Amino acid sequence: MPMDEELISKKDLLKLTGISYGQLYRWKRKNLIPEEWFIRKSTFTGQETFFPKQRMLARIDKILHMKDERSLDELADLFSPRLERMTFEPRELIERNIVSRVMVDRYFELFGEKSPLGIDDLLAILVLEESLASGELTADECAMLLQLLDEHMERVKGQEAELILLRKLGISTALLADRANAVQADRETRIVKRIPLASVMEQVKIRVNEWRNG
Amino acid sequence: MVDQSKNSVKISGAGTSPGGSFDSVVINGSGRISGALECISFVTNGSSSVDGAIRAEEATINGTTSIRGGATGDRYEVNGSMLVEGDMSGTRLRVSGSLAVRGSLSAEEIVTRGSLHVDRNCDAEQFKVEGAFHIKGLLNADQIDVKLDGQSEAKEIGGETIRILAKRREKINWFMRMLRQSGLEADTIEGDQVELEYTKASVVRGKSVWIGSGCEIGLVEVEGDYRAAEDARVAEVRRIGGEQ
Repeated sequence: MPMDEELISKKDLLKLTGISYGQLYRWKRKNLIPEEWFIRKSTFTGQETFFPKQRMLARIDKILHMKDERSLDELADLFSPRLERMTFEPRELIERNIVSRVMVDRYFELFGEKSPLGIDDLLAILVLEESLASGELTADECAMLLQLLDEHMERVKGQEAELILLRKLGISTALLADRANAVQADRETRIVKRIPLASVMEQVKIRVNEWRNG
Repeated sequence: MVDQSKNSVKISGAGTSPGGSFDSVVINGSGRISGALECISFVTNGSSSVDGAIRAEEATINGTTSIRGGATGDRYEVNGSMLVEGDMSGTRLRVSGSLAVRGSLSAEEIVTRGSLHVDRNCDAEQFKVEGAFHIKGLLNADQIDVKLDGQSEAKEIGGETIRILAKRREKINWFMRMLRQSGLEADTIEGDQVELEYTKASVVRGKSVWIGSGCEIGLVEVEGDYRAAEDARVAEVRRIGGEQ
C-alpha cells in the first residue's frame, strides 16, 4: 500500500457515498473489499477504521453499478478471482516488478514464449528465481528442475511437495518428493538444493496480492 | 466394533478407523477417526474425534466431538459439544450446548442455544444466539439477534441489524439474578439499527440507536433516531451526518 495515499475514515466514507453500515459489512463478508484496506488507527475517540480513499471510492462505485446485474459472489470473483483462473501479461509482471525480466526471459527460453501466463507459470518462474538466486546451481540444473516440475505440476498442486537437486561426482539428479521428508544421501552425494513448493506458492500469493492491490 | 464397508464406516461401542472418503460415518459409543475425513453424512451418538479436517455435507453430533483440523460442509447440528481446532465454514449451523472454534467461523445461518467460542472472526448472514458468545475478533453478520444469558464478549460487532437483549427470566428471584449476571462487552459496535441492553462498549455507531438498561457506553455516534433508557450510562452522544 503506497505510504502517502490519502485515507478516509469509515464515518466520512459512509457520509460521502451514502452506503450503510449493513452494506459495508456485507461487502466485507463477501470479500468485495480486501481485508488490507481496513486500516485501524487510534484517534482521540478511540479506535477508528480508515480506508485508502481513492481505491475505496472506485471500488464502491463499481459495486454499486454492477450489483444489480451480478450477485455479490460473482462480484467477489471479479475483484479477486481465484488464483487458478488468473492470468498475467508478462510485460505487466515485469513493469510492476512482480518478477524480473531476466527470469521471464529464462523461462521463455526453456518453455517457449507465451502470453498470458497462468498461475502455474508464475510458480515455475519463482522456482527458477529461487534456484538461480543462490548461485549454487548451473543453468542446466535449473532447467532440469523446471522440466521435472512441469511434467508433474498437476499431481503436486496443493501438496507439500519438494524439489531436490542432488549432485554426485559432478553429475546431477533432480528429484520431486511428494511430501516433505527427511532425505539422506550417501557420502559422495551432495544435496545441493531443496525447494519446498508450498513456500514458493506462498510467495506467489504474496506477489499476486501486490499485483492486485498495487 | 468397526464395520468399514466400501462406502461407509460404522463404529459401535469403541473403535478406531482410518480417515478417508465415505458416504456415511456413524459412531455409536466412542470412536476415533485417525485421519482427515470426507463424507456425505457424519453422525455421532456418544463421543468421537477426528484427527484431521472434516468435510461433511450433513453432520449431527449428539454428545461430544472434537476435530483436530478444520470443519467444512453444509449443515451441522450439535446437541452437546463440539470443538474445532481449525476454521469452520458451512451453510446452516445449529448448536444446542456448546461449540468452540479455534480459528474463524463462517456460515449463512448460525443458531445457538448455549455457548459459542470463536478465537478469530465470525461471519454470518443470520446470527442468533440465546446464551453466551465469546468472539475474539469481529462478529460480522447481517442480522444479529442475541438473548444474553451469561457473560459475552466480542472485540468488534458490525452488521445491519444488531439486537442484544437480556434474556427475560421471570421465574428466578432477585438473588439468583445477582448471582448470574448477564452482559456483553465489546470495543466497537456498528450497525444501521442498533438495540442494546446490558452492554459495555467504548463506541457505538449507528443510523438508529437505542441504548437500554444496564448499558455503559463511552461514545454513541448516531445519524438518526436516538433513545436511551434512564438507567443507561452514556458518556457522550454525537450527532453525525446531515448537519453539514
